[in-house]
Amino acid sequence: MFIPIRRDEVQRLVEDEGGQLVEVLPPPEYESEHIEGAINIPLKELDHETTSGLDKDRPVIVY
Amino acid sequence: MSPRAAARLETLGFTKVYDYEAGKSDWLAASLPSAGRSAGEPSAADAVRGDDIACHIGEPLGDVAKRVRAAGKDTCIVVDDRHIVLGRIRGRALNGDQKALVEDVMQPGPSTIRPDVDLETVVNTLREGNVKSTLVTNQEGRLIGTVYLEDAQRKLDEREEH
Repeated sequence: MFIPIRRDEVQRLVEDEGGQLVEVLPPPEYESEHIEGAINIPLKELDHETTSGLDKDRPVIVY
Repeated sequence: MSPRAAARLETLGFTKVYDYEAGKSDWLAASLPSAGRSAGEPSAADAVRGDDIACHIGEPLGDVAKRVRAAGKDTCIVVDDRHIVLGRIRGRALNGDQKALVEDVMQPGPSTIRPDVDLETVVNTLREGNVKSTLVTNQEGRLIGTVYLEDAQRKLDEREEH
């Protein structure tokens, strides 16, 4: 079951565990501004192909 | 949206999935690193004041009014225990029946904006609405503070000068 987290935990996961940030908002919102280092996979496009670049052994943080 | 994305990732075989509930607006409100076309542009977060007087629905108006006046303010933001904005009491409403409860005199559901709204939009919206300030909340509706038109305009002017 996925875990809801706050900002400090996001930072810790990224810095200590190689957490991967994924913005699931539509591309215009991502292109306007996103968290540094985040990639964009819109919610409607989440599938095996679009997530193939993510490492399943490391945390994935969605927002 | 993000809980659904997190759930979807789990169906795709990911086992270390986390949902950043407060999301991008929370990140940007903390002035943490960002990228993109608007990165670095001033936003509501750059002009927000975090010195609002907060009160709760069960408090007598008299107690609240004293706190507000002592702080040199004319507004109290009504929040719940999680600091989620429920309403607002301002101006003459603070002088009403001092024994009344906040819940009975507050203006419910005041307009709010997110901290990542660009400052120019904030200024234009305030001017068009002929209002001097707006509340800023995060994605969860928790109070961050207030942006005043004069502060926002000053920030924009400072950017123009540099």
